[in-house]
Amino acid sequence: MGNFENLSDQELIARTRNGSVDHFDELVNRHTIVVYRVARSITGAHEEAEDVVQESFLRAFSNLDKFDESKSTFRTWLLTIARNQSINIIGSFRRKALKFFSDRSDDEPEFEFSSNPLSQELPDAETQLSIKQQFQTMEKVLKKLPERQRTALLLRSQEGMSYDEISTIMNISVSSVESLIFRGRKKIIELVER
Amino acid sequence: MRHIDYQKHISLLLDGVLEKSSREELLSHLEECAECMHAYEKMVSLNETLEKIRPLLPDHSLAHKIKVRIAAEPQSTAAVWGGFSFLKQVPVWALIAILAVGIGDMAGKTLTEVMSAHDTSHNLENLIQDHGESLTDVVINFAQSENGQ
Ligand SMILES: [Zn+2]
Repeated sequence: MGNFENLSDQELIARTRNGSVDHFDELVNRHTIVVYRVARSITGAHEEAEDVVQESFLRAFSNLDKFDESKSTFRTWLLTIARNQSINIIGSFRRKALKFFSDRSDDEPEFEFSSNPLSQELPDAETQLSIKQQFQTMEKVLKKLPERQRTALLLRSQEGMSYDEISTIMNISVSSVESLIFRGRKKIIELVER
Repeated sequence: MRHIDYQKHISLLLDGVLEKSSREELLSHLEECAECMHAYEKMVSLNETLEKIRPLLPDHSLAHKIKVRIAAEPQSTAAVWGGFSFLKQVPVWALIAILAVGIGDMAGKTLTEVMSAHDTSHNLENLIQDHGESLTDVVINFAQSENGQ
């Protein structure tokens, strides 16, 4: 197993196309977390998200000849695949039937709270409680957002992606991304205030 | 502009994509509009909360599981036919004829069965996709895709 950390995604892809699977493994190392997060955010369930991540990488691998580096980055292309896979899962009849009998995925925690690493002082018990409540409210509220608003908003605020990249992943215009993010924010604020 | 339009601009401002002229217009509106100022404060605080929560990480074993499945996967189609690029010089009918002669009793068997029975090089085995299709299926698919070009 070589050390490919210094190679760009593009170089790794070129080497994979020439038959080196080890180079593709490095792409797996680099992008598994972000693909999981996006899949998790759309499906709302850990196991489904892990399935989506595996399928997305397999698809990317076997369709690597179709990837066009002049149109998008590998990450964007991979996330486009992952989003489509996730949407297929949540729209599937099997999933709907399972959801009808159990609501388990709605109870699964999706986020963890990360306190500011720069702040040295520990918050007092009262502040900690309020942070925890804030966190739980946010998690509940995020689950109530329509998928498109939620995905656009989380890609922006959690993954720091540009409107352009989000528009490619979601296959919509940049002005639709603007609207979705704005409506998502507005909806969250309404739900929290309610 | 309506309040709701200004509020949409607040969202763009937070993401750093609001144009300069619109930004100045928004800032002077915020000075005199309590409703939009309230929306601004709420959106700033929402952004801060969203930054504090992090999506959970996948299991450590996930990347490993993917690699195991990739290793078991046949190479991508580009790599497969890239390796046989000389075949593209041969007319499709000739290709079918050559393969048909050689196929004989192989028809209906999967590629792996054919390859292992005839002890072809391991490279070939790894290169050609085996989805349980018979060799004839693969040839026909290939011929069709060639014709389509
Ligand atoms: Zn206003």
